[in-house]
Amino acid sequence: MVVVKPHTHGLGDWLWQRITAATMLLYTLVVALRWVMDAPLGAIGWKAWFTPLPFRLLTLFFLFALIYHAWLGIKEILMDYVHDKKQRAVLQALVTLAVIGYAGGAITILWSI
Amino acid sequence: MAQRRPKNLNLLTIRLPLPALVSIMHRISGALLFLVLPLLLWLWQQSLGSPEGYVATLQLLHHPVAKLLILILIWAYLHHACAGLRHLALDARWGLKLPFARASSACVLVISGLLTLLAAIWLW
Repeated sequence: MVVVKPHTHGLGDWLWQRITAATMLLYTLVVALRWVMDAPLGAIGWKAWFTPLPFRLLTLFFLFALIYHAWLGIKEILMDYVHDKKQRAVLQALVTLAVIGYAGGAITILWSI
Repeated sequence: MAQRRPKNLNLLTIRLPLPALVSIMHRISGALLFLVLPLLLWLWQQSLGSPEGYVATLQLLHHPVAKLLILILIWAYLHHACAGLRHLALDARWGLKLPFARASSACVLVISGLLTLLAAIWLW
């Protein structure tokens, strides 16, 4: 029996777009709440804000969600407006490279505090 | 089958229905946020890198033009989030009827507008 892999990546994209969105909303609420209760003061306070490991991991989680969400969104925009397959592949590759760089940057920034 | 029907696709003369307006603004705000992402990461890095960097970043952000740009980005984030929440409701088949869809579009504009106003008061 031949098992054909179903083309479900569209559904996957749809679902991930929403999972990452919910993640970002939660993080935004957490940050807003924390800001109201304990706003960072000065350079030292700002650094101290990101020092606790749980918050650092949460922030990284948020940034990864944001990056994946943005990557999916840009993919959708490119599919709508760039109809030449080659051109679209090039642009998509550039966007992918860029977001990999952003993800690397996020890790570097958070772990050089 | 070739159809010859009058077409009016001039986006500058079409009056967009409210849900369409919110939809295209959702896209524009998302694209804008993606484009400024490297700038925001850079500012964040500078502010955390050293006390001098922190002061320099804060000074930069206190410039009136910078404040205006921050406000635009805050609006983009809030609009995108509100429109996204509306999207989740529509996915759950909640509020699909046209009058409701119009009303929820207006809600997106008003709520994100009010939250941006709050942010503006906090910024200035």
